[in-house]
Amino acid sequence: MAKGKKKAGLITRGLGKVARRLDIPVSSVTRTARISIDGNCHLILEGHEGISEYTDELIRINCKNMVVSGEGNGLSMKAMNTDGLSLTGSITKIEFSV
Amino acid sequence: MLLKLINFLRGNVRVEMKGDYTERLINMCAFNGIEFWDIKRTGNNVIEVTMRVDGFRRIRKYAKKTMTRVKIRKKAGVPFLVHRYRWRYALWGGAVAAVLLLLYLTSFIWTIEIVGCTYTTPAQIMKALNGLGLKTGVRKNKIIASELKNNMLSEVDMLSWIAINIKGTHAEVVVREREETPYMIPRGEPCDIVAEKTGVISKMNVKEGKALFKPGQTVLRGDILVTGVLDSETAGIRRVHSLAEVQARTWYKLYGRAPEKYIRKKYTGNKKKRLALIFGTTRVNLYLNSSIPFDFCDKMIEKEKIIINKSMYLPVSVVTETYTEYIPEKVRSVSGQISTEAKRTLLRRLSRIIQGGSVKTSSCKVDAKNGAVVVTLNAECLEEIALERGITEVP
Repeated sequence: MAKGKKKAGLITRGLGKVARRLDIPVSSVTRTARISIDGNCHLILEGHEGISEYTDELIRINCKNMVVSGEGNGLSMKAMNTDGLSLTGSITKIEFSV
Repeated sequence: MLLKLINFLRGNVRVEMKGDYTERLINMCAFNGIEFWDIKRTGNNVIEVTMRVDGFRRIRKYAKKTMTRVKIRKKAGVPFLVHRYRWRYALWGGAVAAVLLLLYLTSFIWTIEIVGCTYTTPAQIMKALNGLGLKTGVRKNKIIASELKNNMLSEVDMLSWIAINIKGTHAEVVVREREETPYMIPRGEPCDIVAEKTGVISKMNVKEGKALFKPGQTVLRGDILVTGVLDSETAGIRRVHSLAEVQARTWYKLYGRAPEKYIRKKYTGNKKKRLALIFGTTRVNLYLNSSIPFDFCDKMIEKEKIIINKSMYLPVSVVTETYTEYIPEKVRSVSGQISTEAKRTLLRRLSRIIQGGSVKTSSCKVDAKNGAVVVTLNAECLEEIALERGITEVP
């Protein structure tokens, strides 16, 4: 199992390198997270693997190889599905834990 | 907006999820294709989401796995409304009857509009249309537009083209009329050029024929300017079709008359409105006293047809009558004001007379005569005076 995970990681890293060389977004070839944000009030995250914590002030989103944490006031998830999620509210901090 | 409407039509429920693993349940829903939105934490271990009814049915399985209690907080949408009112037979009957009535009423023509009349009157066209079967209240499927068009063209001689557009319950009839062609002497036929008006010739350009006048000479109306009869020693007398452009200075004197005193309306600000409904041809007044409310008043009638969705005209019109009270006042005409107003009117009349010509100079004079103001406009114009006429005499 561990061997398989290691192999998948290597493939992802290799694909990432190729994508960087070709000047195309890494998220389009590997399943890494892609975040777009409008000011500090609307965030869209594509390529998540589910949420681990969700309150009015904090949201923790699991992504491939990292956890994205968003802090703020009055956070609310507008919608969520397999591909992505949309978050609104006053976002004060975004943190990546690799 | 559209999404909200679709959600309302499909029906949705606000669900409360209570438990220690609510986030896990949300993840399971997202990864198993259950659609949900508006996710809000309302308590320590309580989350509220909105989802479709079929989504709620599928969620129970995952709720059990994550040991979360799910409860419906609110139901909204058409399926729930239908369920709530399912025993109200009169309501459903009324709705069906209304739809059927609407469908039945929309199979008739309720309004006819005639567009493009210049020489003929809309009443004349309407009379012909009525005679051929297109009238208010006729069934739409009885009208064959192509047949009606052909019949109309043979019925009304003045028409050169007609289109009948039926939009919903409204019939738009667009007409184009025949224009009378001015009489012209055929190109090969000999003719003279005569003066159409009296004036002093300023410019002359003869292309065919022999000029009898020169620029600077005065001509009277009817004088032959260019003759089509040419005489030469070698060829003898021959007749040609004269062609020439003759521009002349002409003078006009136009009069306008206005009373020295006139009645001006001084509005008091009092207004009265009355409403009435017209069903087809029957009028129903929505007021009791039908006498005119003021001694002196302006009456404005506005008739508005009830239209649904631009093209669906209902056979009901709302008539609004507005009476505005005024006090008549006798006022003396102000000379300056009359002068400018009259000059403008007289110049407009002059431009109709000279047709394409230009006004070089003009002056206006105001005189008071027998209790009236007489305005005289003197104008010098530059216009085309050439007119073709058949050869009458040999010079």
